[in-house]
Amino acid sequence: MALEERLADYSLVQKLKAGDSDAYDSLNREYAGKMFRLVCRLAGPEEAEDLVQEAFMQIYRSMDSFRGDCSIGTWVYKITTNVCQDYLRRKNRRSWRNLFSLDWLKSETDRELPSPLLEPPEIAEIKDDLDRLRLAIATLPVEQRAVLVLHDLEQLTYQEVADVLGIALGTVKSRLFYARQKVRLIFEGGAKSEMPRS
Amino acid sequence: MRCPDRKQLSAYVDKELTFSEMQVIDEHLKDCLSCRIEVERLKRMLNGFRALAKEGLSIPAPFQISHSDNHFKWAITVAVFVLVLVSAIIIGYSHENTVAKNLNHNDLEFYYKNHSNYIQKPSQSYFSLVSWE
Repeated sequence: MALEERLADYSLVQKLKAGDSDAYDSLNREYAGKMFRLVCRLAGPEEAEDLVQEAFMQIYRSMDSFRGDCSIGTWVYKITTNVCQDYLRRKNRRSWRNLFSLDWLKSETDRELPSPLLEPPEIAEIKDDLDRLRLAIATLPVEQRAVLVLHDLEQLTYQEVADVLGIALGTVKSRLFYARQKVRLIFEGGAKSEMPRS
Repeated sequence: MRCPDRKQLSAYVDKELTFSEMQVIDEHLKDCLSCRIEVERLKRMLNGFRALAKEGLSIPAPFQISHSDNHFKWAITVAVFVLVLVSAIIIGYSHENTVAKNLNHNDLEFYYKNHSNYIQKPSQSYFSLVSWE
């Protein structure tokens, strides 16, 4: 972490510890969206708002215990990921499959891509690929999904993922490898099953 | 040269290896078609992840969670508690008055006579304070 970032983080933490409401608003503005996105990807969108609220509450409550040995961003991701993992353990669900319907997956893709009324075959294919990819990620075990989402979707480095999840760098590397293998198998398996039979 | 294991190739695509490890794999890829294919497949998948990462989820209106909101919630909880407590006291007091008003002097005398073994009759001055209707 660069010195400037560390100083900015230190100053923000001091303000938060002093109960500065502007500092809380700025933390909220900076991270609420990111936390919501992470929660949706890890635990599904159904209870995302509640889980983000829970994560924020934990951040506020544990502010005094923040020692500054990682960035605030990493710390926020750590608490959010823990909240998601606890939620999934509580619900005893190993995947997103039961957490949201495929309609939601479809609608998210529709929102991003050009009008479905003018849908050239290439766009339909991309949408289909993204849906399959999303579903493949959703079927991963929680531990592997967390690593893949944090690294491949949230663009965290290996070291940041290790800090967020509290695991060794080697474990990040190996979980990421197995997660990608599984996604590829599911993704390519889906593609093969859709090929026309001769 | 022996092919690097798949985990190494996965980390190579992420550029998460040391400079010398990267160099070794770069050199290996020049001569190994199967590893080049593996790296290309990984890169294609990562492109798919990038496309997923770019898509915007419909994030609800900014979360109105702040330290001050937390205080506000506490203030409401305390206010409700005080309101309930005050209401209970007022209701209890008015109930006692109603009971007292419905009793006359003779009733009280009768009551204390029948319960004299465990209730002590108050002094006369107490009765003089009660306004009888």
